[in-house]
Amino acid sequence: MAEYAQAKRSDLPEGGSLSPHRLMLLVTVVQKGKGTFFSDYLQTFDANLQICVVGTGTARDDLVEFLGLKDNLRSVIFSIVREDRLDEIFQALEERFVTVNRNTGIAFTVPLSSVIGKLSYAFLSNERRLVKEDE
Amino acid sequence: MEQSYELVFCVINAGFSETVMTAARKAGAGGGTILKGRGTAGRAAEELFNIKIQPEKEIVMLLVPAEIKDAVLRSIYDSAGLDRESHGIAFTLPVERTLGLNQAPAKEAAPEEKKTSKLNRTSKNGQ
Repeated sequence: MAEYAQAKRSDLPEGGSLSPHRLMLLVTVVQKGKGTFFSDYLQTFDANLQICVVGTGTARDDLVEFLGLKDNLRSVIFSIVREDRLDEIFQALEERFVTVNRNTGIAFTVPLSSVIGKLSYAFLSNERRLVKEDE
Repeated sequence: MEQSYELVFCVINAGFSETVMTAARKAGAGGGTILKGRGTAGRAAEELFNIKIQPEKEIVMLLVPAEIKDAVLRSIYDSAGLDRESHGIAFTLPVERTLGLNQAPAKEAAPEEKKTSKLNRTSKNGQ
């Protein structure tokens, strides 16, 4: 088994990766209630897997808190996206943060180090060419 | 030079997120986001390490400048580590791109950096 793993590893190209596109975990934090909008929007950028959860923001704004106006609930969206689409995704998010999210919201990416399964990779990267018609 | 960030993930027992935030702020971190979760640890592992896993968990996600990452982790470990009531486990992940962050945390921001737009986009950090 170890020999097999070693042999496969030796087959890897110089970059150490067999996948055509690097995948990233994109985390987007927006106001609660905007999660569905942003996850639908991100789906148009080939993000097939998205998980949207509710979170609580902890940023301090003492005056707002004192006045009881603090609205600290957030929607946190975890999406898997292709690295080559990040430029357009960030540009689009930047625009939507201004127009839809009251000029707030953050987004950041964390690289995925590995994925197992061709079909899983094809799904995550929305790479339809990797899926044969009979599969 | 572009500011590089790290994502600090801290998993703690429910109700201790404020302890983590206080510790992180002490080390210079800004805001964070708290998520609710449910922990699952094997019974054998619980017995081996003598750690009781409380199912209700909170996850604190903090985006911090890379240069204060170690200080934030140390501070969290000291006040909410595994030997504390919060049973905290903290780790960091590399962040490559960010959007919507102030260029520096409130505590250490230089005056000219504070004036920059909230929507400054950083390119791939460290590249």
